[in-house]
Amino acid sequence: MAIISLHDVTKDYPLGKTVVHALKGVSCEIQRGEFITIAGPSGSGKSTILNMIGCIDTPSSGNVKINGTDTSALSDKSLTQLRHQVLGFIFQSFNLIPVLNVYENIEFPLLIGKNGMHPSEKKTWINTLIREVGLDSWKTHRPSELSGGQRQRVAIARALATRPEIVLADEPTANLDSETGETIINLMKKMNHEFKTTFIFSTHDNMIVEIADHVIRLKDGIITENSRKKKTGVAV
Amino acid sequence: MKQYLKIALRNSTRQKKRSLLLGGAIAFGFLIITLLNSFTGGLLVTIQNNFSNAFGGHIYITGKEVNERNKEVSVMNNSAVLLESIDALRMDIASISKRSQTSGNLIFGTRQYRQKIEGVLLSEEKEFSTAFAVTAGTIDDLSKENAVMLSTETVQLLNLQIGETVLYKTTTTTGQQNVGEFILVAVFADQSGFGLTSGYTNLESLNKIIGLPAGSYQTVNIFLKDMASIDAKTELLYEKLKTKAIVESRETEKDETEDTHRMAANMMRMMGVQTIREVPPEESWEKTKFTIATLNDYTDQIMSLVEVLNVIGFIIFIVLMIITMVGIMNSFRMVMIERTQEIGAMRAMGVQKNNIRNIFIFEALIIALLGAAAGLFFSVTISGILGLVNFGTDSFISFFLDKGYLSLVIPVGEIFRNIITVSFLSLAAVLLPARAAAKLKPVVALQTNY
Repeated sequence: MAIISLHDVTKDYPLGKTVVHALKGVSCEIQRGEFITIAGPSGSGKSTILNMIGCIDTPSSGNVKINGTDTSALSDKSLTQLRHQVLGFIFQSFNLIPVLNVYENIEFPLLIGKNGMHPSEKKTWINTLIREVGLDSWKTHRPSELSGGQRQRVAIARALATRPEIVLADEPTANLDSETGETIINLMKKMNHEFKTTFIFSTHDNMIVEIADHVIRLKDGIITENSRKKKTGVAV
Repeated sequence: MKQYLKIALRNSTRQKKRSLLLGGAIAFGFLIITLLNSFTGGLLVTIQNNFSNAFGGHIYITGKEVNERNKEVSVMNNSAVLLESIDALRMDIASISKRSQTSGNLIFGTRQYRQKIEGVLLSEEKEFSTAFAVTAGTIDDLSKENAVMLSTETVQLLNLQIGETVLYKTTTTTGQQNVGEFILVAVFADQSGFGLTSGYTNLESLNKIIGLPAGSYQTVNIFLKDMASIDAKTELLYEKLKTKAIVESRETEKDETEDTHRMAANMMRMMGVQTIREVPPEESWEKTKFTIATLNDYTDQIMSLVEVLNVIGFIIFIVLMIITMVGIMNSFRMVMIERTQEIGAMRAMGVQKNNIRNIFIFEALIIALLGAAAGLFFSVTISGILGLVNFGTDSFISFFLDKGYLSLVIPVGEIFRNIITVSFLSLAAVLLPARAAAKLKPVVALQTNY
C-alpha cells in the first residue's frame, strides 16, 4: 500500500475578486522509503501539494490519504497529532526556535507528545542525529550563531527526531548557495538511506532533481511528469 | 508543559528592553501598593499601641454613682463585684491598673499648662516603674505624698525643676474647684504625643485633691496578653459583670447621636474631665454603675480611615495595572506578529493550539511575576531603610510612630492578593493575543513574511 496517495486533489485560493486554481485535479501515489522531488517552476503548485501531504492545508476537493487514512475526515487536533507522529518538516527558511540551542531544537519535537523513549535513549538518539548532520561541536549554539547550511542541518535532524515515516522539505536549498544546497540534499539522501524514511522535497533546481529516485513535475497545478528512475526506470 | 515554560522563559528575554519596561511598570505599581499596605498595616498596630499606652490599657472600666445631692459622681466604691468578674479573665490579663484621674491646670509662676494627672495605686502596679524612660529625678519617689512625675514637654513649658512645687487647679468629683500642690520628683520622655500624655502621682495624693476617699479609684484598666482578643474578652467581662452589678449597655444604640454622646462621655471620664450631671430621680441608681469601653471603641473610626486608605491605594494599583496591561496586550500583539512563522513551524511539528496559547500566557505571567518580585524586593528594602529613620517624638505625627520610628509591617495577605491580581490582569491582557496566535492556521503562519 502506498504511504501517501492523492486522488483528484484541487486547491483554489481566493485572490481579491479572482480565484487562483493552484492544483487542478492532482492524483499520485508515493511509496514508503522513496526519495522524491516535486519539481516545477514558481507558482506550479509544489508548495501547495506539500502542504496537502503535510496536513497543514486542506484540499478544495479530492482527498489525501496517509497510511490509508483520509486526512480530510480528521479534526484539527487529530491532524496535529498525525503531523507529530508521522511527519517531519524542513522549511526553506529553517524556522528553528531562536531561543533554543541546537540540541534543544532537535529535542523539541520529542517533548511535544508521548514518544515512549527513555530519557537516556532520547539523549543518545539526539546525539546520534547531531553527529549524523555533522554538528557535534555546535550543540550548545543558538540558531543565530549558525550559518544557513548549519541551520538547515539542524532542521533535518529536528525533522528526523521523532523517527517520522515521512519528511517533507519545501525548497530546502532555496536559501543556500549551490554547493551547500547539494550537501544538504546529499545529507537528506543519506538519511533516507540510513533510516528508510520517505523524503519528499520540492525544488526548481534541475541539478538537484537528478539526485531523486522519484520525480513529480508540476506545471500550472497539473502533474506533467511522474517518474521513478531507479526502481522502475520508466515514466508512470 | 515544562518545555513550553522553558520557551516562554527564554522568550521573555528576547526583547529585553520591552520586557524590562513592562516588568518595570508592574514593579512600580507593586512597590507603591506594598509600601502603602506596609505603612497602613504598621499604622494600625502603632495607633492601637499608642492609644493603649495613653489610656493605660485595652479595656477600660469606669464607675459612676449618684450622690446624696442627686449628682453623678465618677467613682467606684463597690469595686469588689468588678474585681470578681475580672478574675474570670485572669489567664488572659497581662496587667491591671486601678487609677483615679482628673484634668486641670498646672500653675508655676506665671505659666499654666493643662494636664491630665493620674493617681496610680503603686503598691499593685509593679511594672509601672519600668514603663517609662525617666530623664530626670527618680520614679521611686512617686510614692511620697504629693509627688508628681511629668513629661519633658510639660516640664519645659512650665520651666520646672526637680524638687520644685507646682500648683494644680482642678475640679473635684462633686464639681468643686480645688487647688492642690505637687512636688516634681521625676521627668519622663513623652512617647504618645497628641497631648494624650498624662502626669502621674500616687493614688492617695490625687484622691485628696479630687475629693475621693482613700483607697477609692475611678477606673480599672486592663492590659490583655493578646490585643486581638479585646472584643471577645470584653464581651465575657460584660456578661459576667451584668449579673452582679448595673452595667451600661454595650449594645449599639439605634440613634447614632446617642452612641456618639455615650462614647464622648466615656472618653471625657478617661481623660480625667470630671463631668457633673444632675440625675433625674427616675434615672437614679444605687451603688456603682459600671461602663466598659475598649480600645477598639475609640480606634474603630481610625481603623476605618486606614481601611479606606487601603481601598484607595488598591484602586490606584488596579488603575496602574490596567494601564500596564494595555501595554502588555499591545506588546503581545506585536510579539504574535513577529513570531508568526515560528508559530506556524511549531504547529507543523505537532504543537497543539492550546500549547501555543500557553507559551504566550506563560511569558506574560513570567514578566508579571518577575515585576511583582522586583517591586516586592524594592518595597521591602525601602521599608527597611525608612524603619531606621528616627522622626522624633516631639511632633504630632509621633502618635503615628512607634517611639519615633515608622512601623512598617510586611502585609503578607495583601501581597498574595496583589500577586493574584497582577497574575489575573496579565492573564486577561494576554488572552486575546494568545488565542489569536493559537488560532493561526499553520499554512498561513508559515507563508507570512513580516
